[in-house]
Amino acid sequence: MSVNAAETPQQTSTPQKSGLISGLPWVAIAVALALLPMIFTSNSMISTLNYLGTMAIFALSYNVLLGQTGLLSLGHGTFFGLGGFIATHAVLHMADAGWNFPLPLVPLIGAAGALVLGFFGGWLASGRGGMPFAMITLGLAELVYAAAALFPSIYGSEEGISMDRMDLGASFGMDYGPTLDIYVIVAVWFLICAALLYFFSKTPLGLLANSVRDNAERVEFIGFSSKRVRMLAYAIAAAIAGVAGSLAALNFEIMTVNELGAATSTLVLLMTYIGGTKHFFGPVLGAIVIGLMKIWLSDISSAWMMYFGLLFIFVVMVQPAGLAGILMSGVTLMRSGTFKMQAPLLALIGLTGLATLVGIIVLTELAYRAGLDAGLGPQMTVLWLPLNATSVLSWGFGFVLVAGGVLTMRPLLDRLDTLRHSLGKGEMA
Amino acid sequence: MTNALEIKDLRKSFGPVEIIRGVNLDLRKGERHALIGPNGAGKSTLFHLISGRITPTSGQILFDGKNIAGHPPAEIVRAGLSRSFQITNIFPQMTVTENLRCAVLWKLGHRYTLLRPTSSLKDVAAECERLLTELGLTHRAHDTADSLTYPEQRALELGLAVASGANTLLLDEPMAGMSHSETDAALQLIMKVTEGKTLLMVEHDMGVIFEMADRISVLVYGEIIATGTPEEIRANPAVQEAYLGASEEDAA
Ligand SMILES: Nc1ncnc2c1ncn2[C@@H]1O[C@H](COP(=O)(O)OP(=O)(O)OP(=O)(O)O)[C@@H](O)[C@H]1O
Ligand SMILES: [Mg+2]
Repeated sequence: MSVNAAETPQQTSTPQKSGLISGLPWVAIAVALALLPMIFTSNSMISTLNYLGTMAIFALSYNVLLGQTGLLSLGHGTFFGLGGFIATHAVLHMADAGWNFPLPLVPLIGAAGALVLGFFGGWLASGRGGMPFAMITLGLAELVYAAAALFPSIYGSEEGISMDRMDLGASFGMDYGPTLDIYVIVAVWFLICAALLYFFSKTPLGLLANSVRDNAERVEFIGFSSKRVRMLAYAIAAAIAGVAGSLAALNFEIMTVNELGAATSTLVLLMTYIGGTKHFFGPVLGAIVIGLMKIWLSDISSAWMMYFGLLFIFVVMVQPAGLAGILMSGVTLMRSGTFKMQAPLLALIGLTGLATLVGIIVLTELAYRAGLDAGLGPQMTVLWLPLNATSVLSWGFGFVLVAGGVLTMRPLLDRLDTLRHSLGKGEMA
Repeated sequence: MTNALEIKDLRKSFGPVEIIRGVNLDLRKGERHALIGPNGAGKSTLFHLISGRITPTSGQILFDGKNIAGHPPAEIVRAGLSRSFQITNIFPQMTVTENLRCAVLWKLGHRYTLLRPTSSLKDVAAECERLLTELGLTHRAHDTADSLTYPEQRALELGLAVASGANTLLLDEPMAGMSHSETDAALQLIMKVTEGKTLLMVEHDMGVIFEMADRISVLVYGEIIATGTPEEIRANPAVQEAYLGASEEDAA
């Protein structure tokens, strides 16, 4: 009991301390956002940044469901798409009416629309979590997607609906022609959305969301309705997805039905999960990595979807805490003070992993060249390696790398385990 | 009104099997009432019926004079009747403090709030502090619930039931699976946190029951075969035959 008494005063002092410390990362993020366009100055790079920021907001919104409330939605793309369409039509109509509505505030309209629809969808889907929730969200998304085809005047036909973001006129000293103007809008909205969602995670409702994730049944026995919590989380996630969709509309100036389809829902699920659902900024990391893969990899390899899938499987099987989890364990390792002792083994493991990865890439590229892209001829260069899709040597090279890597990895990991075990013991003593 | 709870001819069937077969039971305000009975008698099922986890097939459950049979659990808790579970039922990935915060929110009037951070709610902090001290979990306040030892998890389980502020508590085998010394500590804790409240508790340990209970009810095959003071129950031939005889011989 004396131990308890000694700890009580420490505890009361933590809130103020953490209040100060928790402010720092936000300042750092704001500074980074301000510096980014000075480093990446070309138009296409800024356009990429806009896309990544948009997806980061989208992934953060999805994590309200997946990470915080423990809900697997298979239809989150619906709200991204609907938010985008609402924003597009808002711009078109307001331009027609000759209003000078400030463009940076258009995402508010998309968010409001998505919020209302989110309440409705949440009301339908939130009765139970788990499988029923996933299935209902999937069903609703398919329904919206199918219904969209019935209203070409709203959703456009194949080529979608386009608008000109400059039609609303200038405001805040910007005319919104340059991509950089859109970057400013995206960056500010990213800060707002991230701060709002972070705040949400600290409120009683955020806490209740966690409790629904952990044990939805018990929530009922402490006086709250799990259904209500799910519905509110769903609506909030929808509203923020609506912001992301609106920003996408402003950035690309075109919305197509694909934006609210299953591919969008899958993409946000992959980004969020791969980034890591257990850390607040995990989804941002996932959005950046996957977003870059999508943009760059799709340029250099027709197998990019394949790598996507492989990365997803890797994270699910090896590191369920996602990329953020890997990062955090790296930080823990650095702080543990035993990094030096582990470094040689870790380097060896890294090299083995790299060899395996090269092997996988070689095999994947060879397979694509032999199959889908056979028309391009068998000669190819992968990672500066001259390969031939019809040569046994090339295939053998890939197989040896993968098999060798996998076989070496096991004993190496065992040795790392043993080492860490003995280090842990040493610390205790 | 002297009865906190009145159960009248309560029945529950799972398919063709009737598990609760016409239970009648009164719980007086402020009493400590023990519910005993052999394994599979239906004690937990009875708790599930009272607390709204499952709906009765027929019968009445009057809480403060109002029929709550078939009402949703959240409504029953808000009316002032809360329960703990035989199988630990907490929020495993959340810290002990977060567990308790969730449980005190409703009674302090913070509903589905998203306008203020939880840490700024002074009343929540104070109440959690008090509960942590009472439960002896202060040194575990920032550990996740699944990292607690078994007795600590049971204390938290009890804490969640108590935290809701209900004046009537149903505790389902709060000390099951504990060692002798742990049981003693847990009993002291239960007596402390339920002071002034109405208590209905399932327990197998006769020593514990005769120490704490004002009255005892015996449930056998879905029926209450006797209700009375510990002395009356000890002397009841039907109880001895159905239940006590065997366990007292075991104890001897
Ligand atoms: N959902 C259900 N469906 C079918 N049968 C059930 C269900 N729940 C409980 N039972 C049955 O009802 C009977 C009573 O179970 P209950 O858990 O209420 O017993 P108990 O008195 O709490 O026993 P114990 O002392 O072991 O905890 C058991 O035979 C059990 O198999
Ligand atoms: Mg039981």
